[in-house]
Amino acid sequence: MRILIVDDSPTMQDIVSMTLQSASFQVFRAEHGVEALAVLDVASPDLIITDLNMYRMDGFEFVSRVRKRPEYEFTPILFLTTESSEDMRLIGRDLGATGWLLKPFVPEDLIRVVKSVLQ
Amino acid sequence: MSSLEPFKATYFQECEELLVSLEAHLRELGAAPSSREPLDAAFRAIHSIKGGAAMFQFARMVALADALETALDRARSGRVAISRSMAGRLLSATDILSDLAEAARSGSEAPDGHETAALAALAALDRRATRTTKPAQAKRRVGPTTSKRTNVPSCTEPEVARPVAAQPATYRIRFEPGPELLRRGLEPIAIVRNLKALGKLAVSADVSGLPAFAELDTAILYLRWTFHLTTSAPRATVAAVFDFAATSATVEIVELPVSAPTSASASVSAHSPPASPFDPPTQADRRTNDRENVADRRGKGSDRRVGSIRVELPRVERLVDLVGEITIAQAMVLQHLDQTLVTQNPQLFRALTGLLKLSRTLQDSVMAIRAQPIQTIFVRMHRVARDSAEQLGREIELHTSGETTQLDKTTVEQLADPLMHIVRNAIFHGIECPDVRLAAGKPAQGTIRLSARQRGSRIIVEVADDGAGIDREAVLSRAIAMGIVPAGAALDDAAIDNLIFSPGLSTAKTISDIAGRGVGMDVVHQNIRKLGGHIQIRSSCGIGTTTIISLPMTLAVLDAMKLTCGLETYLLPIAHILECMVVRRSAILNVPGSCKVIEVRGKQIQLISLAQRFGLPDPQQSERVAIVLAEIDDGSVIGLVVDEVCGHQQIIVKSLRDPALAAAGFAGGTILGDGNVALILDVNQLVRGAAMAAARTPRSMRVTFNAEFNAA
Repeated sequence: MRILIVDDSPTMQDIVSMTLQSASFQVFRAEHGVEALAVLDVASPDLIITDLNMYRMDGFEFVSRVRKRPEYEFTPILFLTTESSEDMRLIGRDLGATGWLLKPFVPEDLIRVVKSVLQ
Repeated sequence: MSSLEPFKATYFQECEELLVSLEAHLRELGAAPSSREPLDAAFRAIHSIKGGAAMFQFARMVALADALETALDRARSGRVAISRSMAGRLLSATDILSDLAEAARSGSEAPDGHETAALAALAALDRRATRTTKPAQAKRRVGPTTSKRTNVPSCTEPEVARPVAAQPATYRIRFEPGPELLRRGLEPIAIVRNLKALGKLAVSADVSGLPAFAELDTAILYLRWTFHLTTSAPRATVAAVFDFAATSATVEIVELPVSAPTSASASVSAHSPPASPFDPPTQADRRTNDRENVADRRGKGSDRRVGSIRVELPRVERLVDLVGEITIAQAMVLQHLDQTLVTQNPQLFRALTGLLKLSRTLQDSVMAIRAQPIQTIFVRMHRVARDSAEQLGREIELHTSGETTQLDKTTVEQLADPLMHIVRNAIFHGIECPDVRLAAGKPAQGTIRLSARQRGSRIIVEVADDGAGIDREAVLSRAIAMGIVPAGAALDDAAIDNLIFSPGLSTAKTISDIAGRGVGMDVVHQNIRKLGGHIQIRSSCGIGTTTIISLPMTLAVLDAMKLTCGLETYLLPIAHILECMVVRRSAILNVPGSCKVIEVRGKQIQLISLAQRFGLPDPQQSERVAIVLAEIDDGSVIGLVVDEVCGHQQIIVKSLRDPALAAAGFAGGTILGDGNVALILDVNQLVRGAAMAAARTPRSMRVTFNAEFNAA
């Protein structure tokens, strides 16, 4: 299974990708929305995990653009962010995100959620 | 969370970069309070710092970063206007956050209460914001980072409908998180913040659950809270704040009647639906018309960051090393190539020229990898200036320019301490007290200008203050008292100014002793020298002092002059060389006490003969010798007597393992184009050796030479 991680923090990228790799997922990384869109077809992900606050293009815009592409209409997308406000979560959902995960997270929980989404 | 241990190094590096970016953007904001880009960039930086800190459970960092984020967020949502003083407070808080990060990195704890003042200052900003906000605005639900969100249509779900028409109500909320809340990675502070965003909030914490200090487990949450929230948001919105925490907490939300806020009229124990970490929407839930609005909401990307990768330093060093080897290998090939072969083959000639050009470009590109903007240390100087100015009651404005000037990483790192000392010196000894300045007809606020620029293959860093200038009388009398300068010596102004760098003088109370810092200007001088640089000081009484540092752009490749003596070849770094000359042997004068000198334009310069020094056969038969005038660390000049000066060469410096060689006067070694090894001269060490040999020379005489040349 292929997972695309979009986060502008190298630390977060490392943690998320190592966590997922330890569960035998294949991981692709991007630093922000623009880069993620550029690598989307190469990565051809089964799941996308994206941060919200990023420079150049944030998570909301990225998700709305991904959803406009027919081939990714049903690809699960999880937000992974420190943003816990309900407003934001609802915006994310309305844009087509599949779920909303909070940072900081426990690695095992992330794996569990990812597995259940990909079932 | 020991599984995260390997990521800490990445985080601290990222954190350092983010702090630099945060500080730079806050400063930009202080200068132009209404600009949007630095505000957004600063917010993103602090947001990332907080996110990472939370991941690693650096609780103190999280708390302070959160307060900063909240303050910036209020500015972003337009509820508080950024002012210079606010930017100042945010900067001070950033300083403290750097301290906390440094403590976390070193595995120590910052002193207790180190951040208390900063938190209080940020909280004060917060209160001011609430006070000055119009009531109607305060009641509207605006969560964190909800700037410009008002144009986003609300969702159709009834429980989250916009509470515009609702009457404000007061809720009493009891929040008893289970002990494992922290382990699940939830922050109570986020809950408090989100509640605060809903309206007027009073918080009281119940600390009775706290065990004895020795039994504290930092991963367990012992606190409970009672909130009084006055909001026009519906109950469901309030309950939603506890959504994620609900599975491991008891949440009780009670609406209090407006008339009698103490008696509970309706009590509902709101165990919110179990928080599922994700929430799959149906296709119908997706509302495309929202997308445009959401897209509009965001500011344009403001970071000028370009794509980058992280590489361990040893890998880069290996690359630098290899490029050096290529340069040498190439020189060897050229040396052994039959000249006629090349001249008869124009194609070979062209190919060789191309190869040379390429390897030169390769060398430059590899060196550029190690290059860093000087900004990283310039940013730190603002804090140094702030702290020192505060300590002394001076008013200082620090201007920086040329922050993007690139320098070798090592140079940048090692320049920080000397630069810090110079800036402090400028404040302690240069900038006068505000009343003194006013009396002298200057603005009360002193100005320090910090600048960097490239000049050829060197970088010039200047620190200029508009203070009183150097008290030459005091410096001179001190220098005479310490025997550095003979009594009655006639020194010109520049020479006196540069006495500041003399060892020993720095400890003098009247001149450059910085309370408790223990570093003198002579150490600054030495450190700059170690980087292959020069330092100079120019002062003008009543107008100010400028310290000028000149540094090589890179340390790995050195420009050197090739010298021969007997059958040996030596290299002398060009940075030291003032002048080369060829003279008749008869021009060298013998001074009683085994010291040789030469007169150059009326000044006597002490000579060191390399042949004599290293016990080489001295070819007495030649009538002429070459003399290289070199400047040493104390600013004095000596002449090296050699057979021939063979020309300029770029060399790769190899360090010497044998300490005896260093003591003999060698700074390193290199491999020449012909494959031979040559030693690089360390003039300072040569002079020290010569001084020992000439110990019988009257002290005053040697001093006079130095002093006279200084005056030149």
